[in-house]
Amino acid sequence: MNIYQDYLDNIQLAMRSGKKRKMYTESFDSFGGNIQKGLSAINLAQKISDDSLLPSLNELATEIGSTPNFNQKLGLHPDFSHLKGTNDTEKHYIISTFIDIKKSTDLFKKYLPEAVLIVNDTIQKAAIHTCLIFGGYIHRLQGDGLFVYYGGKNVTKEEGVKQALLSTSLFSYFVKNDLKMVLSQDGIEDINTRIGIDLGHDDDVIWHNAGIGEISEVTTCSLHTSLAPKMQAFATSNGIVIGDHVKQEMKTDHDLITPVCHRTGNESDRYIFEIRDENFRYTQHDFDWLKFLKRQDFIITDQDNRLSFQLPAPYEVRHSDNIRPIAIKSNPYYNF
Amino acid sequence: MDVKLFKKQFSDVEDRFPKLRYIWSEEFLSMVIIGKLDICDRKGVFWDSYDILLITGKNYPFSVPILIETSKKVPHDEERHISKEGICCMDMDHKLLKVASKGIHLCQFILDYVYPFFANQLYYDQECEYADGEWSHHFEGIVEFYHQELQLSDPVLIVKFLEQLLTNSLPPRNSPCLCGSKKYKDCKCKQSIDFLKGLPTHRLQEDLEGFRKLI
Repeated sequence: MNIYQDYLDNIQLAMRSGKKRKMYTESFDSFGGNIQKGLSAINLAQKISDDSLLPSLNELATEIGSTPNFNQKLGLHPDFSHLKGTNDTEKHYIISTFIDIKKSTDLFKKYLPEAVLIVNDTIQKAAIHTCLIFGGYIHRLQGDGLFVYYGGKNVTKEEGVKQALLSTSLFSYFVKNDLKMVLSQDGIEDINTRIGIDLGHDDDVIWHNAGIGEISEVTTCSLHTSLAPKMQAFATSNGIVIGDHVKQEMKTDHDLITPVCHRTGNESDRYIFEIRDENFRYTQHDFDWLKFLKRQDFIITDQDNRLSFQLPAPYEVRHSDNIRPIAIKSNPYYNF
Repeated sequence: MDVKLFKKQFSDVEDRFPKLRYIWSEEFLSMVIIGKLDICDRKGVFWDSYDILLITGKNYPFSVPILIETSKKVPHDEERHISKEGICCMDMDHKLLKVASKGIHLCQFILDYVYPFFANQLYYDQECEYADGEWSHHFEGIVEFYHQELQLSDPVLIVKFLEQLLTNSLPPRNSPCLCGSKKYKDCKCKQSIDFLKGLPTHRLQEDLEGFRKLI
Protein backbone atom coordinates (compact mmCIF):
# COMPACT_ATOMS: atom_id res chain seq x y z
CA MET A 1 0.00 0.00 0.00
CA ASN A 2 1.25 3.45 -0.86
CA ILE A 3 1.35 4.54 2.80
CA TYR A 4 4.29 2.19 3.34
CA GLN A 5 6.21 3.19 0.22
CA ASP A 6 8.96 5.01 2.10
CA TYR A 7 9.47 2.03 4.39
CA LEU A 8 9.67 -0.26 1.37
CA ASP A 9 12.14 2.06 -0.31
CA ASN A 10 14.29 1.83 2.80
CA ILE A 11 14.17 -1.93 2.76
CA GLN A 12 14.89 -2.15 -0.95
CA LEU A 13 17.87 0.14 -0.68
CA ALA A 14 19.28 -1.97 2.15
CA MET A 15 18.71 -5.11 0.11
CA ARG A 16 20.41 -3.65 -2.94
CA SER A 17 23.35 -2.25 -1.06
CA GLY A 18 23.87 -5.06 1.42
CA LYS A 19 23.66 -8.07 -0.82
CA LYS A 20 26.41 -10.53 0.09
CA ARG A 21 27.51 -11.76 -3.32
CA LYS A 22 27.04 -8.50 -5.12
CA MET A 23 28.67 -6.21 -2.65
CA TYR A 24 31.99 -6.58 -4.40
CA THR A 25 30.43 -5.43 -7.65
CA GLU A 26 27.41 -3.15 -7.49
CA SER A 27 27.69 -1.81 -3.95
CA PHE A 28 31.42 -1.59 -4.17
CA ASP A 29 31.12 0.51 -7.28
CA SER A 30 28.29 2.65 -5.92
CA PHE A 31 30.37 3.88 -3.06
CA GLY A 32 33.59 4.54 -4.85
CA GLY A 33 35.09 1.16 -4.10
CA ASN A 34 34.98 1.54 -0.35
CA ILE A 35 32.86 -1.19 1.24
CA GLN A 36 32.90 0.25 4.75
CA LYS A 37 32.04 3.66 3.42
CA GLY A 38 29.15 2.08 1.51
CA LEU A 39 27.73 0.36 4.56
CA SER A 40 28.04 3.47 6.65
CA ALA A 41 26.23 5.38 3.99
CA ILE A 42 23.43 2.80 4.11
CA ASN A 43 23.15 3.21 7.85
CA LEU A 44 22.99 6.95 7.63
CA ALA A 45 20.59 6.99 4.74
CA GLN A 46 18.24 4.55 6.37
CA LYS A 47 18.08 6.02 9.81
CA ILE A 48 14.45 6.56 10.70
CA SER A 49 13.94 9.41 13.06
CA ASP A 50 12.77 8.56 16.56
CA ASP A 51 10.09 11.19 16.56
CA SER A 52 8.48 11.18 13.15
CA LEU A 53 6.72 8.95 10.71
CA LEU A 54 8.09 8.48 7.23
CA PRO A 55 6.27 10.85 4.85
CA SER A 56 4.09 8.25 3.11
CA LEU A 57 2.55 7.08 6.41
CA ASN A 58 2.42 10.61 7.70
CA GLU A 59 -0.05 11.48 4.92
CA LEU A 60 -2.49 8.97 6.37
CA ALA A 61 -1.91 10.23 9.91
CA THR A 62 -2.60 13.79 8.78
CA GLU A 63 -5.75 12.82 6.96
CA ILE A 64 -7.23 10.96 9.92
CA GLY A 65 -6.17 13.76 12.27
CA SER A 66 -3.75 11.64 14.26
CA THR A 67 -0.77 12.99 16.17
CA PRO A 68 1.30 10.00 17.23
CA ASN A 69 2.72 10.11 20.72
CA PHE A 70 6.45 9.50 20.33
CA ASN A 71 7.08 10.16 24.00
CA GLN A 72 5.70 6.82 25.10
CA LYS A 73 7.83 4.71 27.40
CA LEU A 74 7.67 0.93 27.39
CA GLY A 75 5.80 -0.53 30.34
CA LEU A 76 4.27 2.75 31.38
CA HIS A 77 0.83 3.31 29.87
CA PRO A 78 0.23 7.05 30.31
CA ASP A 79 -3.24 6.57 31.81
CA PHE A 80 -1.84 4.31 34.55
CA SER A 81 1.63 5.75 35.05
CA HIS A 82 0.64 6.90 38.56
CA LEU A 83 0.86 3.25 39.61
CA LYS A 84 4.62 3.14 38.91
CA GLY A 85 6.57 2.21 42.01
CA THR A 86 3.43 1.80 44.13
CA ASN A 87 1.45 -1.15 45.43
CA ASP A 88 -1.77 0.43 44.22
CA THR A 89 -4.00 -1.25 41.69
CA GLU A 90 -6.73 -0.02 39.41
CA LYS A 91 -9.39 -1.81 37.44
CA HIS A 92 -9.89 -0.57 33.91
CA TYR A 93 -10.65 -2.17 30.57
CA ILE A 94 -7.93 -2.61 27.95
CA ILE A 95 -7.53 -4.14 24.53
CA SER A 96 -4.43 -6.32 24.40
CA THR A 97 -2.82 -6.98 21.05
CA PHE A 98 0.05 -9.30 20.34
CA ILE A 99 1.72 -8.86 16.97
CA ASP A 100 4.18 -11.57 16.08
CA ILE A 101 6.39 -10.79 13.11
CA LYS A 102 8.04 -13.91 11.88
CA LYS A 103 11.19 -12.75 10.20
CA SER A 104 13.24 -14.82 7.87
CA THR A 105 16.59 -16.25 8.84
CA ASP A 106 17.15 -16.58 5.09
CA LEU A 107 17.87 -12.86 5.11
CA PHE A 108 21.26 -13.69 6.64
CA LYS A 109 22.04 -16.01 3.74
CA LYS A 110 21.66 -13.24 1.22
CA TYR A 111 22.55 -9.99 2.96
CA LEU A 112 25.20 -8.59 5.22
CA PRO A 113 24.14 -8.35 8.89
CA GLU A 114 24.05 -4.55 8.58
CA ALA A 115 21.46 -4.83 5.80
CA VAL A 116 19.43 -7.43 7.72
CA LEU A 117 19.40 -5.06 10.66
CA ILE A 118 17.95 -2.29 8.50
CA VAL A 119 15.33 -4.58 6.98
CA ASN A 120 14.18 -5.90 10.36
CA ASP A 121 14.37 -2.52 12.02
CA THR A 122 12.29 -0.89 9.28
CA ILE A 123 9.63 -3.60 9.52
CA GLN A 124 9.43 -3.17 13.27
CA LYS A 125 9.24 0.60 12.97
CA ALA A 126 6.50 0.32 10.37
CA ALA A 127 4.59 -1.78 12.91
CA ILE A 128 5.19 0.66 15.75
CA HIS A 129 4.28 3.68 13.64
CA THR A 130 1.08 2.04 12.43
CA CYS A 131 0.03 1.29 16.00
CA LEU A 132 0.90 4.82 17.14
CA ILE A 133 -1.16 6.62 14.53
CA PHE A 134 -4.20 4.63 15.63
CA GLY A 135 -3.73 5.48 19.29
CA GLY A 136 -1.94 2.28 20.25
CA TYR A 137 0.37 2.18 23.22
CA ILE A 138 3.47 0.00 22.73
CA HIS A 139 3.74 -1.83 25.99
CA ARG A 140 6.56 -4.20 25.24
CA LEU A 141 8.89 -5.35 22.46
CA GLN A 142 9.22 -9.11 22.67
CA GLY A 143 11.82 -10.51 20.29
CA ASP A 144 10.04 -10.49 16.97
CA GLY A 145 6.82 -9.36 18.54
CA LEU A 146 5.08 -6.27 19.80
CA PHE A 147 2.67 -6.13 22.69
CA VAL A 148 0.33 -3.20 22.19
CA TYR A 149 -2.53 -1.85 24.29
CA TYR A 150 -5.45 0.01 22.74
CA GLY A 151 -7.97 2.05 24.67
CA GLY A 152 -7.63 3.94 27.91
CA LYS A 153 -9.45 6.41 30.05
CA ASN A 154 -10.54 8.76 27.28
CA VAL A 155 -11.28 6.17 24.66
CA THR A 156 -14.44 4.09 24.41
CA LYS A 157 -14.14 0.35 24.06
CA GLU A 158 -15.78 0.50 20.65
CA GLU A 159 -13.30 3.12 19.48
CA GLY A 160 -10.33 1.24 20.94
CA VAL A 161 -11.43 -1.97 19.25
CA LYS A 162 -11.74 -0.18 15.91
CA GLN A 163 -8.27 1.33 16.33
CA ALA A 164 -6.78 -2.07 17.10
CA LEU A 165 -8.47 -3.69 14.12
CA LEU A 166 -7.52 -0.90 11.72
CA SER A 167 -3.87 -0.76 12.63
CA THR A 168 -3.37 -4.53 12.66
CA SER A 169 -5.23 -4.86 9.36
CA LEU A 170 -3.05 -2.21 7.70
CA PHE A 171 0.13 -3.78 8.99
CA SER A 172 -1.00 -7.25 7.91
CA TYR A 173 -1.64 -5.93 4.41
CA PHE A 174 1.82 -4.37 4.35
CA VAL A 175 3.52 -7.63 5.31
CA LYS A 176 1.36 -9.93 3.22
CA ASN A 177 1.45 -7.86 0.05
CA ASP A 178 3.99 -5.05 -0.14
CA LEU A 179 6.78 -6.64 1.83
CA LYS A 180 6.22 -10.03 0.29
CA MET A 181 6.46 -8.57 -3.21
CA VAL A 182 9.77 -6.88 -2.46
CA LEU A 183 11.39 -9.76 -0.59
CA SER A 184 10.21 -12.50 -2.93
CA GLN A 185 12.17 -10.82 -5.73
CA ASP A 186 15.25 -12.07 -3.89
CA GLY A 187 13.70 -15.41 -3.01
CA ILE A 188 12.88 -14.51 0.61
CA GLU A 189 9.43 -15.95 1.22
CA ASP A 190 8.76 -16.69 4.83
CA ILE A 191 8.10 -13.34 6.47
CA ASN A 192 4.61 -13.13 7.92
CA THR A 193 2.59 -11.91 10.85
CA ARG A 194 0.22 -13.60 13.28
CA ILE A 195 -1.88 -11.38 15.47
CA GLY A 196 -4.08 -11.97 18.50
CA ILE A 197 -6.42 -9.31 19.96
CA ASP A 198 -8.57 -9.49 23.06
CA LEU A 199 -10.54 -7.14 25.26
CA GLY A 200 -10.77 -7.38 29.01
CA HIS A 201 -13.59 -5.38 30.63
CA ASP A 202 -13.11 -3.22 33.73
CA ASP A 203 -13.74 -6.09 36.15
CA ASP A 204 -11.37 -8.39 34.28
CA VAL A 205 -8.28 -6.20 34.23
CA ILE A 206 -6.11 -5.15 37.17
CA TRP A 207 -3.48 -2.53 36.40
CA HIS A 208 -0.48 -2.70 38.75
CA ASN A 209 3.23 -2.19 39.05
CA ALA A 210 5.13 -5.43 38.37
CA GLY A 211 8.74 -5.85 39.45
CA ILE A 212 10.89 -3.85 41.79
CA GLY A 213 12.34 -0.37 41.65
CA GLU A 214 13.49 0.48 38.16
CA ILE A 215 13.25 -3.19 37.21
CA SER A 216 9.53 -2.82 36.85
CA GLU A 217 6.68 -1.97 34.52
CA VAL A 218 3.08 -0.92 34.88
CA THR A 219 1.16 -3.81 33.38
CA THR A 220 -2.10 -5.71 33.52
CA CYS A 221 -3.10 -8.86 35.29
CA SER A 222 -5.91 -10.17 33.14
CA LEU A 223 -7.05 -13.38 31.57
CA HIS A 224 -7.66 -11.46 28.36
CA THR A 225 -4.16 -10.00 28.22
CA SER A 226 -2.88 -13.56 28.56
CA LEU A 227 -5.21 -14.82 25.89
CA ALA A 228 -4.00 -12.39 23.18
CA PRO A 229 -0.69 -14.24 22.55
CA LYS A 230 -2.50 -17.56 22.78
CA MET A 231 -4.90 -16.44 20.07
CA GLN A 232 -1.98 -15.20 18.01
CA ALA A 233 -0.68 -18.77 18.03
CA PHE A 234 -3.99 -19.92 16.54
CA ALA A 235 -3.86 -17.39 13.70
CA THR A 236 -3.01 -18.45 10.18
CA SER A 237 0.02 -16.98 8.44
CA ASN A 238 -0.84 -13.27 8.14
CA GLY A 239 -4.03 -13.92 10.05
CA ILE A 240 -5.73 -12.14 12.94
CA VAL A 241 -7.64 -13.95 15.69
CA ILE A 242 -9.87 -11.95 18.04
CA GLY A 243 -11.62 -12.76 21.29
CA ASP A 244 -15.39 -12.77 21.69
CA HIS A 245 -15.32 -9.54 23.72
CA VAL A 246 -13.77 -7.77 20.73
CA LYS A 247 -16.54 -9.07 18.51
CA GLN A 248 -19.15 -7.79 20.94
CA GLU A 249 -17.76 -4.26 20.70
CA MET A 250 -18.01 -4.25 16.92
CA LYS A 251 -21.25 -2.61 15.87
CA THR A 252 -20.84 -3.64 12.25
CA ASP A 253 -18.84 -6.11 10.16
CA HIS A 254 -19.94 -9.20 12.08
CA ASP A 255 -20.00 -10.99 8.74
CA LEU A 256 -16.19 -10.78 8.77
CA ILE A 257 -15.89 -12.92 11.88
CA THR A 258 -16.02 -16.72 12.07
CA PRO A 259 -15.15 -19.04 14.96
CA VAL A 260 -11.67 -20.49 14.54
CA CYS A 261 -13.07 -24.03 14.65
CA HIS A 262 -14.81 -23.41 11.31
CA ARG A 263 -11.38 -23.08 9.74
CA THR A 264 -9.61 -25.85 11.61
CA GLY A 265 -12.54 -28.27 11.49
CA ASN A 266 -11.81 -29.10 15.10
CA GLU A 267 -14.60 -28.20 17.51
CA SER A 268 -12.15 -28.04 20.40
CA ASP A 269 -10.61 -24.93 18.80
CA ARG A 270 -13.85 -22.99 19.23
CA TYR A 271 -12.94 -21.90 22.76
CA ILE A 272 -9.55 -20.47 23.62
CA PHE A 273 -10.31 -20.84 27.32
CA GLU A 274 -12.80 -22.73 29.47
CA ILE A 275 -13.61 -23.01 33.17
CA ARG A 276 -15.94 -25.97 33.11
CA ASP A 277 -16.97 -25.71 36.77
CA GLU A 278 -18.14 -22.16 36.17
CA ASN A 279 -19.62 -22.99 32.79
CA PHE A 280 -17.35 -20.31 31.29
CA ARG A 281 -16.35 -20.73 27.68
CA TYR A 282 -14.59 -18.05 25.69
CA THR A 283 -14.76 -18.12 21.89
CA GLN A 284 -11.97 -17.12 19.53
CA HIS A 285 -12.71 -15.90 16.01
CA ASP A 286 -10.87 -15.49 12.74
CA PHE A 287 -11.12 -11.92 11.52
CA ASP A 288 -11.27 -11.17 7.78
CA TRP A 289 -9.05 -8.11 7.94
CA LEU A 290 -8.73 -7.70 4.18
CA LYS A 291 -12.45 -7.21 3.68
CA PHE A 292 -12.54 -4.97 6.73
CA LEU A 293 -9.80 -2.84 5.26
CA LYS A 294 -11.48 -2.60 1.88
CA ARG A 295 -14.61 -1.25 3.54
CA GLN A 296 -12.84 1.70 5.11
CA ASP A 297 -13.59 5.09 3.61
CA PHE A 298 -9.93 6.02 3.30
CA ILE A 299 -8.97 2.83 1.47
CA ILE A 300 -9.47 2.63 -2.26
CA THR A 301 -9.58 -0.64 -4.17
CA ASP A 302 -8.60 -0.08 -7.78
CA GLN A 303 -9.62 -2.04 -10.87
CA ASP A 304 -6.76 -4.48 -10.33
CA ASN A 305 -7.92 -5.13 -6.75
CA ARG A 306 -4.94 -3.27 -5.30
CA LEU A 307 -5.48 -1.28 -2.14
CA SER A 308 -4.23 2.21 -1.50
CA PHE A 309 -4.84 5.16 0.72
CA GLN A 310 -6.05 7.97 -1.49
CA LEU A 311 -8.03 11.14 -1.40
CA PRO A 312 -9.77 12.22 -4.57
CA ALA A 313 -7.07 13.38 -6.97
CA PRO A 314 -7.06 17.16 -7.50
CA TYR A 315 -8.34 18.29 -10.90
CA GLU A 316 -4.89 19.28 -12.05
CA VAL A 317 -3.53 15.74 -11.69
CA ARG A 318 -6.52 14.01 -13.29
CA HIS A 319 -5.65 12.95 -16.82
CA SER A 320 -8.75 12.24 -18.84
CA ASP A 321 -6.75 9.91 -21.10
CA ASN A 322 -6.47 7.55 -18.14
CA ILE A 323 -10.20 7.40 -17.41
CA ARG A 324 -11.29 7.43 -21.04
CA PRO A 325 -10.76 3.65 -21.60
CA ILE A 326 -13.31 3.01 -18.84
CA ALA A 327 -15.66 5.88 -19.69
CA ILE A 328 -15.82 4.88 -23.33
CA LYS A 329 -17.87 1.80 -22.40
CA SER A 330 -20.73 4.07 -21.38
CA ASN A 331 -23.24 5.51 -23.83
CA PRO A 332 -25.78 7.30 -21.69
CA TYR A 333 -29.35 7.91 -22.80
CA TYR A 334 -32.14 10.01 -21.32
CA ASN A 335 -35.83 9.29 -21.46
CA PHE A 336 -37.58 10.70 -18.40
CA MET B 1 -36.50 -12.49 -7.09
CA ASP B 2 -33.95 -15.27 -6.91
CA VAL B 3 -32.49 -14.44 -3.50
CA LYS B 4 -30.18 -17.43 -3.45
CA LEU B 5 -28.63 -16.46 -6.78
CA PHE B 6 -28.39 -12.85 -5.64
CA LYS B 7 -26.41 -13.77 -2.53
CA LYS B 8 -24.13 -15.99 -4.54
CA GLN B 9 -23.50 -13.25 -7.10
CA PHE B 10 -23.10 -10.60 -4.44
CA SER B 11 -19.97 -12.28 -3.09
CA ASP B 12 -18.24 -11.29 -6.34
CA VAL B 13 -19.59 -7.75 -6.03
CA GLU B 14 -18.38 -7.51 -2.46
CA ASP B 15 -14.93 -8.66 -3.42
CA ARG B 16 -14.64 -6.19 -6.27
CA PHE B 17 -16.63 -3.29 -4.80
CA PRO B 18 -16.12 -3.70 -1.04
CA LYS B 19 -18.02 -0.61 0.03
CA LEU B 20 -21.28 -1.93 -1.35
CA ARG B 21 -23.69 -3.98 0.74
CA TYR B 22 -27.26 -5.06 0.26
CA ILE B 23 -30.60 -4.76 2.00
CA TRP B 24 -34.01 -6.23 1.32
CA SER B 25 -36.57 -3.63 0.27
CA GLU B 26 -40.21 -4.32 1.00
CA GLU B 27 -41.10 -1.34 -1.18
CA PHE B 28 -39.48 -2.82 -4.28
CA LEU B 29 -39.80 -6.47 -3.21
CA SER B 30 -36.21 -6.73 -4.22
CA MET B 31 -32.66 -6.67 -3.00
CA VAL B 32 -31.13 -3.22 -3.12
CA ILE B 33 -27.38 -2.74 -3.32
CA ILE B 34 -26.36 0.31 -1.39
CA GLY B 35 -23.08 2.05 -0.60
CA LYS B 36 -20.13 3.86 -2.02
CA LEU B 37 -18.58 3.25 -5.41
CA ASP B 38 -14.98 4.45 -5.72
CA ILE B 39 -13.89 5.34 -9.24
CA CYS B 40 -10.23 4.96 -10.18
CA ASP B 41 -8.65 5.44 -13.59
CA ARG B 42 -6.50 2.94 -15.46
CA LYS B 43 -3.43 4.08 -13.52
CA GLY B 44 -5.15 3.38 -10.21
CA VAL B 45 -5.59 7.08 -9.44
CA PHE B 46 -8.70 7.66 -7.35
CA TRP B 47 -11.00 10.30 -8.85
CA ASP B 48 -14.11 10.27 -6.72
CA SER B 49 -16.74 8.26 -4.85
CA TYR B 50 -20.47 8.15 -5.44
CA ASP B 51 -23.20 6.99 -3.11
CA ILE B 52 -25.48 4.70 -5.04
CA LEU B 53 -28.55 2.52 -4.80
CA LEU B 54 -28.94 -0.31 -7.27
CA ILE B 55 -32.44 -1.77 -7.20
CA THR B 56 -32.14 -5.21 -8.68
CA GLY B 57 -35.88 -5.63 -9.33
CA LYS B 58 -38.37 -8.25 -8.31
CA ASN B 59 -37.73 -10.27 -11.47
CA TYR B 60 -33.99 -10.44 -10.85
CA PRO B 61 -31.91 -11.71 -12.61
CA PHE B 62 -34.25 -11.01 -15.53
CA SER B 63 -34.87 -7.32 -14.88
CA VAL B 64 -32.76 -4.25 -15.53
CA PRO B 65 -31.35 -2.91 -12.25
CA ILE B 66 -32.26 0.70 -11.55
CA LEU B 67 -29.29 2.86 -10.63
CA ILE B 68 -29.84 5.86 -8.36
CA GLU B 69 -27.15 8.38 -7.53
CA THR B 70 -27.77 9.61 -3.99
CA SER B 71 -24.66 11.68 -3.23
CA LYS B 72 -25.80 14.41 -5.68
CA LYS B 73 -22.23 14.94 -6.80
CA VAL B 74 -23.44 14.93 -10.39
CA PRO B 75 -26.21 17.37 -11.32
CA HIS B 76 -29.51 15.57 -11.55
CA ASP B 77 -30.50 16.86 -14.96
CA GLU B 78 -30.98 15.83 -18.55
CA GLU B 79 -27.52 16.89 -19.66
CA ARG B 80 -26.00 14.43 -17.19
CA HIS B 81 -28.53 11.69 -17.96
CA ILE B 82 -29.89 11.63 -14.43
CA SER B 83 -33.52 12.22 -13.49
CA LYS B 84 -34.50 14.63 -10.72
CA GLU B 85 -34.92 11.62 -8.47
CA GLY B 86 -31.36 10.52 -9.23
CA ILE B 87 -32.17 7.68 -11.61
CA CYS B 88 -29.25 7.23 -13.98
CA CYS B 89 -29.92 6.39 -17.61
CA MET B 90 -26.91 4.16 -18.16
CA ASP B 91 -27.56 3.10 -21.74
CA MET B 92 -30.28 2.65 -24.35
CA ASP B 93 -33.19 0.74 -22.82
CA HIS B 94 -33.12 -1.87 -25.55
CA LYS B 95 -29.52 -2.82 -24.84
CA LEU B 96 -30.13 -3.09 -21.11
CA LEU B 97 -33.32 -5.07 -21.61
CA LYS B 98 -31.46 -7.46 -23.88
CA VAL B 99 -28.82 -8.05 -21.21
CA ALA B 100 -31.55 -8.60 -18.62
CA SER B 101 -33.39 -11.03 -20.87
CA LYS B 102 -30.37 -13.33 -20.66
CA GLY B 103 -30.02 -12.87 -16.90
CA ILE B 104 -27.99 -10.23 -15.13
CA HIS B 105 -24.65 -11.08 -13.59
CA LEU B 106 -24.41 -8.41 -10.88
CA CYS B 107 -20.67 -7.84 -10.79
CA GLN B 108 -20.40 -7.80 -14.56
CA PHE B 109 -23.34 -5.41 -14.78
CA ILE B 110 -21.62 -3.00 -12.41
CA LEU B 111 -18.36 -3.32 -14.34
CA ASP B 112 -20.03 -2.89 -17.72
CA TYR B 113 -22.59 -0.19 -16.97
CA VAL B 114 -22.47 1.36 -13.50
CA TYR B 115 -18.74 1.96 -13.13
CA PRO B 116 -18.32 3.27 -16.71
CA PHE B 117 -21.36 5.55 -16.24
CA PHE B 118 -19.65 7.36 -13.37
CA ALA B 119 -16.24 7.24 -15.06
CA ASN B 120 -17.94 8.94 -18.01
CA GLN B 121 -19.43 11.60 -15.72
CA LEU B 122 -15.93 12.33 -14.43
CA TYR B 123 -14.65 12.44 -17.99
CA TYR B 124 -17.42 14.90 -18.80
CA ASP B 125 -16.34 17.08 -15.86
CA GLN B 126 -12.91 17.35 -17.45
CA GLU B 127 -13.71 17.45 -21.13
CA CYS B 128 -17.30 18.78 -21.28
CA GLU B 129 -18.24 15.85 -23.51
CA TYR B 130 -18.81 12.14 -23.08
CA ALA B 131 -15.95 9.80 -23.97
CA ASP B 132 -17.81 7.99 -26.73
CA GLY B 133 -20.74 10.30 -27.30
CA GLU B 134 -24.26 9.73 -26.05
CA TRP B 135 -27.61 8.63 -27.40
CA SER B 136 -29.95 11.41 -28.40
CA HIS B 137 -32.59 11.94 -25.77
CA HIS B 138 -36.15 10.62 -25.76
CA PHE B 139 -37.55 8.97 -28.90
CA GLU B 140 -34.89 10.49 -31.11
CA GLY B 141 -32.41 8.23 -29.34
CA ILE B 142 -34.52 5.19 -30.15
CA VAL B 143 -34.60 6.17 -33.83
CA GLU B 144 -30.83 6.52 -33.64
CA PHE B 145 -30.52 3.10 -32.01
CA TYR B 146 -32.62 1.40 -34.71
CA HIS B 147 -30.48 3.07 -37.33
CA GLN B 148 -27.04 2.50 -35.81
CA GLU B 149 -27.43 -0.85 -34.09
CA LEU B 150 -30.18 -2.53 -36.08
CA GLN B 151 -29.53 -0.90 -39.47
CA LEU B 152 -33.24 -0.07 -39.75
CA SER B 153 -33.97 3.49 -40.79
CA ASP B 154 -37.27 3.46 -42.68
CA PRO B 155 -40.12 4.07 -40.22
CA VAL B 156 -42.61 2.38 -42.55
CA LEU B 157 -40.55 -0.79 -42.65
CA ILE B 158 -39.89 -0.67 -38.89
CA VAL B 159 -43.62 -0.34 -38.20
CA LYS B 160 -44.33 -3.34 -40.42
CA PHE B 161 -41.71 -5.42 -38.64
CA LEU B 162 -42.89 -4.40 -35.20
CA GLU B 163 -46.53 -5.11 -36.07
CA GLN B 164 -45.64 -8.56 -37.35
CA LEU B 165 -43.39 -9.21 -34.40
CA LEU B 166 -46.12 -8.28 -31.95
CA THR B 167 -48.71 -10.40 -33.73
CA ASN B 168 -46.27 -13.25 -34.20
CA SER B 169 -46.66 -13.13 -37.97
CA LEU B 170 -43.15 -12.54 -39.23
CA PRO B 171 -42.35 -13.75 -42.74
CA PRO B 172 -41.51 -17.46 -43.10
CA ARG B 173 -37.78 -18.08 -43.53
CA ASN B 174 -37.93 -18.69 -47.26
CA SER B 175 -40.35 -15.85 -48.02
CA PRO B 176 -39.08 -12.48 -49.25
CA CYS B 177 -38.06 -10.09 -46.50
CA LEU B 178 -40.35 -7.12 -45.89
CA CYS B 179 -37.58 -4.87 -47.17
CA GLY B 180 -37.84 -6.73 -50.50
CA SER B 181 -34.11 -7.34 -50.93
CA LYS B 182 -33.83 -11.14 -50.54
CA LYS B 183 -35.18 -14.14 -48.67
CA TYR B 184 -35.98 -13.27 -45.06
CA LYS B 185 -33.56 -15.91 -43.72
CA ASP B 186 -30.70 -14.39 -45.71
CA CYS B 187 -31.59 -10.75 -45.10
CA LYS B 188 -29.72 -8.58 -42.62
CA CYS B 189 -33.12 -7.52 -41.30
CA LYS B 190 -33.52 -10.96 -39.71
CA GLN B 191 -30.63 -10.32 -37.32
CA SER B 192 -32.19 -7.05 -36.26
CA ILE B 193 -35.56 -8.66 -35.75
CA ASP B 194 -33.96 -11.50 -33.80
CA PHE B 195 -32.50 -8.87 -31.46
CA LEU B 196 -35.93 -7.29 -30.97
CA LYS B 197 -37.52 -10.69 -30.35
CA GLY B 198 -35.89 -10.89 -26.96
CA LEU B 199 -37.38 -7.61 -25.76
CA PRO B 200 -40.53 -7.27 -23.65
CA THR B 201 -43.83 -6.57 -25.42
CA HIS B 202 -44.34 -3.20 -23.73
CA ARG B 203 -41.02 -1.97 -25.12
CA LEU B 204 -41.90 -3.04 -28.66
CA GLN B 205 -45.37 -1.53 -28.31
CA GLU B 206 -43.88 1.82 -27.30
CA ASP B 207 -41.47 1.69 -30.23
CA LEU B 208 -44.34 0.88 -32.60
CA GLU B 209 -46.36 3.84 -31.39
CA GLY B 210 -43.35 6.13 -31.69
CA PHE B 211 -42.47 5.06 -35.21
CA ARG B 212 -46.12 5.30 -36.33
CA LYS B 213 -46.02 8.97 -35.40
CA LEU B 214 -43.05 9.45 -37.73
CA ILE B 215 -44.89 8.18 -40.78
